[in-house]
Amino acid sequence: MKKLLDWLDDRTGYREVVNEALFESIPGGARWRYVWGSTLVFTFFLQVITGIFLWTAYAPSTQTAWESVYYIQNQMTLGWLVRGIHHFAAQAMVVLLVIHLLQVIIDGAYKAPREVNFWLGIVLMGIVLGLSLTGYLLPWDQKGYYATKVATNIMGVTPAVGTEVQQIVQGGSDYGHHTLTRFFALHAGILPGLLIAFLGLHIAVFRRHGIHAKDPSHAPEGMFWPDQILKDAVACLAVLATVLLLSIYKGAELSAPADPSTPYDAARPEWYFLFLFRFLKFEFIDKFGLAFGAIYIPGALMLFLVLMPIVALWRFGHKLNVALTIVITAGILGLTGLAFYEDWFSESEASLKFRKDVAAAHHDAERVKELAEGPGGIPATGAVSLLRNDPLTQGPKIFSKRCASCHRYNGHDGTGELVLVEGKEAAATAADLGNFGSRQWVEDILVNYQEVFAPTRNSTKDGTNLGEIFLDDEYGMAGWVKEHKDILLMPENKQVLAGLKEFLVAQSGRADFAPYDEKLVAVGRDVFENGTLLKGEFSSNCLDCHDMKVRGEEEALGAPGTAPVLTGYAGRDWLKSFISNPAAEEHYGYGDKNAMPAFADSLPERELELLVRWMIGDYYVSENKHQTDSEEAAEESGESESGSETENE
Amino acid sequence: MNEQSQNKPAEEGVSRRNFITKFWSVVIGGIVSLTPIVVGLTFFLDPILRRRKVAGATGDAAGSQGEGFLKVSSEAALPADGTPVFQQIRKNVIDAWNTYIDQPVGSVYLRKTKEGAITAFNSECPHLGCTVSYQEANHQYKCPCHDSEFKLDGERTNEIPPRPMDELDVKVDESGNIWVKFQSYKIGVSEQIPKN
Repeated sequence: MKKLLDWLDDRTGYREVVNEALFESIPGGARWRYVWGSTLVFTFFLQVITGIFLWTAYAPSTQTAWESVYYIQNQMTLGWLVRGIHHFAAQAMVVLLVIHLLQVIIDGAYKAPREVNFWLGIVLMGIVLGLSLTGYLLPWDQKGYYATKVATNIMGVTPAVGTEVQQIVQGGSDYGHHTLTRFFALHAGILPGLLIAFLGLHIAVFRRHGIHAKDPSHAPEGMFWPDQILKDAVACLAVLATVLLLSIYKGAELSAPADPSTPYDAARPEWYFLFLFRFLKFEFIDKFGLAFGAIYIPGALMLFLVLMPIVALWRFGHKLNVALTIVITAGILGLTGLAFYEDWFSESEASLKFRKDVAAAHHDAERVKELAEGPGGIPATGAVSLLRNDPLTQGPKIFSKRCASCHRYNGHDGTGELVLVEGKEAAATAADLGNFGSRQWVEDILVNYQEVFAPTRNSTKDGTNLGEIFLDDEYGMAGWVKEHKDILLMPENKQVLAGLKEFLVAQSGRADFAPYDEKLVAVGRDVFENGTLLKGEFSSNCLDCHDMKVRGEEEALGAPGTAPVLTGYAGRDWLKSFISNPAAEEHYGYGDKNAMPAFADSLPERELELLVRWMIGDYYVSENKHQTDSEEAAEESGESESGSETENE
Repeated sequence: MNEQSQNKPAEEGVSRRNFITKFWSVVIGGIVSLTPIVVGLTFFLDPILRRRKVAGATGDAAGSQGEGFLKVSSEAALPADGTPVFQQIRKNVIDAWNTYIDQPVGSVYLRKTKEGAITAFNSECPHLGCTVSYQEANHQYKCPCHDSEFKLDGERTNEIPPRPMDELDVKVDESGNIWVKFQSYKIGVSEQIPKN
């Protein structure tokens, strides 16, 4: 063995290199305070290792970036951990870098003869921040997309060359495939290459001048190997443990796929850029123009850093440097703290909205994961179309925009927000559609008509209160219900009401309400057609006013009457037709009761389809989620469940 | 170590402490460097550590009939004289994160024998995976790549391929539809080893 090593040394001279690397003397002995530089090298090592492995699974294009990261995070063996380490080590690197820099400044280690090394360090800092900025975009999720857009737009306002710089960086005038390929080349090739080169110089120059001993008389002279290396290794272990714990308990986030057509109100830069973000929010800064706050001020700070070794030549220079550093650091910490406070703890309107936006973003992220894991998987067009074409995601948004000015959905606007007018909850002027088309809905129409349509009293039609037209009409449904609700609610007629509900709901053909109880449907049909009751009597039958083609049958049950046609009631086609034109003959065309506008022209077919599919529950829900949801629903409706059991006997 | 142990006791203490320092440096240094490497390598070995999702368990392309049978043709479409018919196979394909609906995934030769039985062979040559073609002239399958040749019953007529053509399970339903359980096998070996 020794002979072999001798031979290797003879040919390569490796021993001298190793000796030089390991046997560096440390005046004053090894100390914990010298570990920061080594931890930085270690985090870079972590990034290179995890980065190369992530590279083996990442695909930079707008249709595959999010998708491949989703696959890494949720499907591949230990993918979440590799990505977690990469994500949190990047943040650890920024923290350690700031500590390292502050120590160098406060200890005066930047002064002659170490100026050049200090400048090399500043270059390294720039590269690390560049790596962080480029890496943030690569998952191509909403968070990274919108945060990075701000950064590239700031580049765009750079005086003289802004537009060109921005286009070069983005690979075009807007974001697209080439933004990702360029950012990826920077992130995984150019910047790490530069980092390695400058790190080599940084360490070489560091060795030339030796360590800047804080206190050479602290202890007897020590050696880099093994005294300092042990302390460095322990510090690296602490860093690694922190990164692992964060990866396991917090995990790297992946928000919904980037969608330029869906604003992301929860956009924030990485937390260590928050101070700059908050700084730009000050109105008095904004007055001087974006370039002032976003380019000149940070530029001035960098210039201040660069000039430090020269300022230090002056008698009080070092003290001035330290004092300014402390002031600036305090400012940065203060702004960061302020931004955190405003986002997460303040009760102001903007803060509450931000937290809601974050919750909505998490909701979207969960939903797209659910869809990606569903039977359809991710289509070749990319995961962004999953949410765009998802009734459960889009339906509530369309409802809140187009329907919630009159209707409510379980008391809110569809998205869970109250409908406000000038800060106060606005009164609905039309029915709450939260359980539209359900068995409960049909029952309410049959026996609680006044309550369902009570909001119409808040509305007028051609100068008349709509409630009067709707609810006080003795010859309409309102009058029929007033006359017959007591009959329908008789215990003897329990089966009649249940049957009527089952029969009418079955007309919708909705899959989420299936299975339909055939016996009950038959009972209901008999009631609907012939008015067969177990006790009491109808003065007029359903068919006297309504007609319908029973689902699956060609011939209509009755002749067109004075009330809406119930063919396919509350099903997909019926609902689409109703929303398109509620005043059509088959809907409210027979009376003057309709106050709802026709949406045929104003609501695009695509949106109508999404809205209707959401309202009739026609969307994918994963098996697990479905179970927990229906269990909850079963608990809530426990009473009526046991009721229907007795009916079936 | 021998040289050092002959030194004075005081220096022995120093060297002992030095040894412990070195020992822990190496151990801790090893842990922090190996952890990311081991994690990363495990991630890299994902293709052999994890069973991938395969389309077809449920929700397959139109025409699936459980157990992986795909409707590919009908009895009436096969000539009575025993001439094989080349038939493309389509099904849903999962490629990592993407699901592609109804994609061509391979092809088979379908044939009605004189006795009326239906046979199906995977058209992939077991030698090196090219698609064999049917030679009308001598009623043989021949591979365009390395001249593997097979009889109509899939048996080899030369020693180039390591095994006969891969025969697939076939079903015919009441309406005369032909269902094939499409399967590919490992190329270049004499045994039939199913892929995935």
